[in-house]
Amino acid sequence: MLGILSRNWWKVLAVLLLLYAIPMAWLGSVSVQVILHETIRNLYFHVTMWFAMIAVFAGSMVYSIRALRSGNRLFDIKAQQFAQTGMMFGFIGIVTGMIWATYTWGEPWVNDPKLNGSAVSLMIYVAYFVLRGSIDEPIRRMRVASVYNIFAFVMLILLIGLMPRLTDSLHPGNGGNPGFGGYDLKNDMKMVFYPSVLGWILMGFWIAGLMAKSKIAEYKIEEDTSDK
Amino acid sequence: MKLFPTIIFSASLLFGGMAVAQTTADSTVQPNEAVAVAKSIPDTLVDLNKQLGGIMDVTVAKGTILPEAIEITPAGLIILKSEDLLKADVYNFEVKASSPENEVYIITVKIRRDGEKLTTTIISDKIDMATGFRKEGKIYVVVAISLILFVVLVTYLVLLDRRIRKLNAKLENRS
Repeated sequence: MLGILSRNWWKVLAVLLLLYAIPMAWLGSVSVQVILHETIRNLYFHVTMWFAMIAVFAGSMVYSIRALRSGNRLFDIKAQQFAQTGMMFGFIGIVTGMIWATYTWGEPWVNDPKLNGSAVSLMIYVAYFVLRGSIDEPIRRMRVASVYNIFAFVMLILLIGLMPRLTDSLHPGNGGNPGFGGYDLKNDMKMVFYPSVLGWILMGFWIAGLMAKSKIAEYKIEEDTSDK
Repeated sequence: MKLFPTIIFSASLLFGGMAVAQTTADSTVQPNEAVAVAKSIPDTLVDLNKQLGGIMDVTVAKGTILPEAIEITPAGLIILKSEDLLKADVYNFEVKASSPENEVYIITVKIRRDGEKLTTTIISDKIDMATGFRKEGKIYVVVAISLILFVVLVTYLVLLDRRIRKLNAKLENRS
């Protein structure tokens, strides 16, 4: 029992953080903003999805580097499954963002550098899966896909981290037009926001890990049957 | 939304203030002090506290530029520093204030100069938050439902985790 807990303490932490953050997202006091009103609470749900996505994609890149260094195909499977989970968080982020934008910015898709950047970076990750699908030989697929995955992560950081800061964006903290009025988040909000960011990042790793483990089980079975 | 009556200040009040400033300036030697004296007798255009009742933390709203001639105190006084600084005929700006119940108001202030008259109009608008909804305690319905959803999903995740770990262990032992 203790052995299980010592390996999985971070999953317990994720659940505890979110058991605190989810009720507080509804109950905590928030900054009163003109257009946002109560929708400012979306910060705890919509924005955390992006943080989880970036963290899981980073994990995917680390596994790709390890796959390249060791030549172990299990790392390649992990990298692929982490990228897939990252895509899921990215799509949740886009859909929730579109709903939020409809009621605050007036339409689901405004020409905002952060929106376009996130859409382009998700397309780059879609290309990662297309690339994998187009190579049949496993070792070659691992090498090419791993190198591409490192490139994809760098592009992601450039497109959603750097580009919006260079131009005007409706998103807070970017360009000269911060949506939260100079990021004047109350301290009360930070006390809920940071735990929920960490909680969702850990949840992301948990889900991605499950995806990877089940895929590895599948891989082992396939290996067994091909041996016979 | 509450619309408050227009407050009209007679020009004579302003000119009276100017006259006092003028006489003080004459009696002193340094011109710098004259400016200081003119500033020390500001003309209150509007007392937001008196008009709206129980307003505090009055600040300039984000995205609005306060005219040079105007000053705002946290207690809600909108003060005309000097009439000389009023160059345009119409000024619009917004201030943000809060009530003791934590409700936030955006107050649009419009100052119009019409010949010798100075007219100040204020329109206050409350930012709608779900204060009543919370006061009734209905927010706990939302909290309960989202917590149940989360707990059930996590339980499934734990079960799935165990199942996959056992599966991998079995495969490990077989080979």
